Amino acid sequence: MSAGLIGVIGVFVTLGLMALRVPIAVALGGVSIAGIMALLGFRAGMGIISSVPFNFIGNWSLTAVPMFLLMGYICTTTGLTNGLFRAMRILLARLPGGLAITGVAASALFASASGSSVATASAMARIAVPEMLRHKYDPGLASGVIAASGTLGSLIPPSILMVLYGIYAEVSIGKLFIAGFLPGLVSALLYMGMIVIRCKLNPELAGGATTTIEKFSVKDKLAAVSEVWPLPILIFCVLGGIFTGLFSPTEAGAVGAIVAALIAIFRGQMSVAAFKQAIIFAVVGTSSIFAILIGTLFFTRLLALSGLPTDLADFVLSVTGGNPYMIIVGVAVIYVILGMFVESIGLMLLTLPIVLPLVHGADMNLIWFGIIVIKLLEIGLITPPIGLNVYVIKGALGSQVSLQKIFQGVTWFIVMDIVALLLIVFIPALSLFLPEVMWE
Amino acid sequence: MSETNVVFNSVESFVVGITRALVVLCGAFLVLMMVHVGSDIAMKLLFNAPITGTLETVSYFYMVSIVFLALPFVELRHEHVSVDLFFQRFPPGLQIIVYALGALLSAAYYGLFCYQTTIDALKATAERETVMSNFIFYVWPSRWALSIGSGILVLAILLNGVRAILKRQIPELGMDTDAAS
Repeated sequence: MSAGLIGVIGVFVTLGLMALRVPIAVALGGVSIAGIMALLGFRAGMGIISSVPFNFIGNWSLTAVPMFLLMGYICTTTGLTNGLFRAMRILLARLPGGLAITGVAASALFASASGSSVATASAMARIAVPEMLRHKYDPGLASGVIAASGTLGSLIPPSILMVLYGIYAEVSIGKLFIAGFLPGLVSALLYMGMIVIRCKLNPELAGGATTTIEKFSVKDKLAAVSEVWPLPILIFCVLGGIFTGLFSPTEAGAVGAIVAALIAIFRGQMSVAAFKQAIIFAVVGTSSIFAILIGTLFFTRLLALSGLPTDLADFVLSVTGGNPYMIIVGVAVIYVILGMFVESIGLMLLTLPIVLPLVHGADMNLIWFGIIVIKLLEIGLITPPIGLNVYVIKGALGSQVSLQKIFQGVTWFIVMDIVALLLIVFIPALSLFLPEVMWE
Repeated sequence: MSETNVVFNSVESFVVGITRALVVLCGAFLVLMMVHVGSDIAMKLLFNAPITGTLETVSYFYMVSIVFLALPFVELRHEHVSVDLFFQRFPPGLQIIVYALGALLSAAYYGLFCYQTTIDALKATAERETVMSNFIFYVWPSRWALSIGSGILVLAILLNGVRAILKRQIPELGMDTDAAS
């Protein structure tokens, strides 16, 4: 059997095993070791097991992952994220569709701190959607906004997806963090602008004339500010430290976890139980992410030995003439399809071994491409027929809103995401301007 | 209680006990990682005197231990990331067969992993393995995290597989079983 054929079989067997609920880590790793053994013999396969995992995991940059996970879980288990929706609502109530806009802002902050758009969707669905429905908001808008807004988190730093991408693609994590900021902001503003315009044109969407605009006193507003300050401060501390050079992006994770814990203590929200829970979640998250990453590393070796990524890259480059936009369209199709089944971290780790050689071949900027990949991964979470976030929301809401309604509501946000994606793709400066300014 | 059940239960409590002990250790390492890195930054900024060996200790000891020693716990809680979508539509009987075969495959993969990393750990121990640094840093103890973590993981996977067959029931993904809570 030729090496190329073994590579192709490896890819399909891996996908097949994943469909049979074999853990992604095992599907990737097991197939790769078996494939390497088929190509080079038993000892070569064992040699990879011997050399790769220990040397890769014992890596300083990777320690940012458990630390950022811990930071995120401290925010959620101690309830730092709880009052977010209630408080932001007081600050944003006057805009048309104010509750939906509140949903965008609160979800973006929640997702940025917790690091998971699926977790954000699940939590905000329980807090924000019932509130919007009570104010007679259109169910599609109410659920769609929450399904979509959680996806903003991975572009707004700190982001675990960016840490993992940076390590795998060997680009600066600090630059990725700052590169994601404007695209994240643009995405959020597009969402908000769309909501304002739609609700202005059709007030029925936001409850119409049946509900009066709530009035809040200055005292309410001050209380609201005191409720939302921890998360912006936390994000500011982490990013500020990185950009002033006080600490590295790797160290920033530990600083973030400490600051989150201190804020929780200061607000009297820290308990032993909450801290223990945060630790357990962070340990489980770390271990399961790196189990997949080890599989990815094995898979990368198998694919490299089979020559598949270079063959594929040559093929794609000859077909597209090295046109970066064509390559991005290809990657987008892959992500939208696979995004139906796999969560963003797993999907990224699964596809980078194949996708990155293409990017190298077409000589694209790896930071810019990283931002595009992360945006695509998140869009994949809300696209029909099977957007993971949409199902999470449906699960949280039960019979209150039909699946069809949620997908209808989410469509508007997908359109905005496509606009944002086009802006990111055609205006590379949107991603690259800030890192250049910061590092020159 | 049948004899199979007695054997199963004692194996189960053994695996669950070790798994819990390991995860407590991982939790301790996670907190140590936070404190150690935080103190290093503070010392660096305040006194320009970073703590020697922070990078090595954090990467080789804490990080490696957290990743590998927590693997069995992740398995007992069914938190290994998997795709549930097609599996849910299988008839129950087929689900159990597919799940058990998947468990066998996983056990084989991590069994190979355990075999090789144990050989490596023995070798590293015999050599008192160190890593390049501006001081002597003994790295061999963390080699055992791979061996022990994957070894107990194999037991946990087999335990889950056998439990599914005995109870004719597939655990849901991300579910906390009473055994691992």
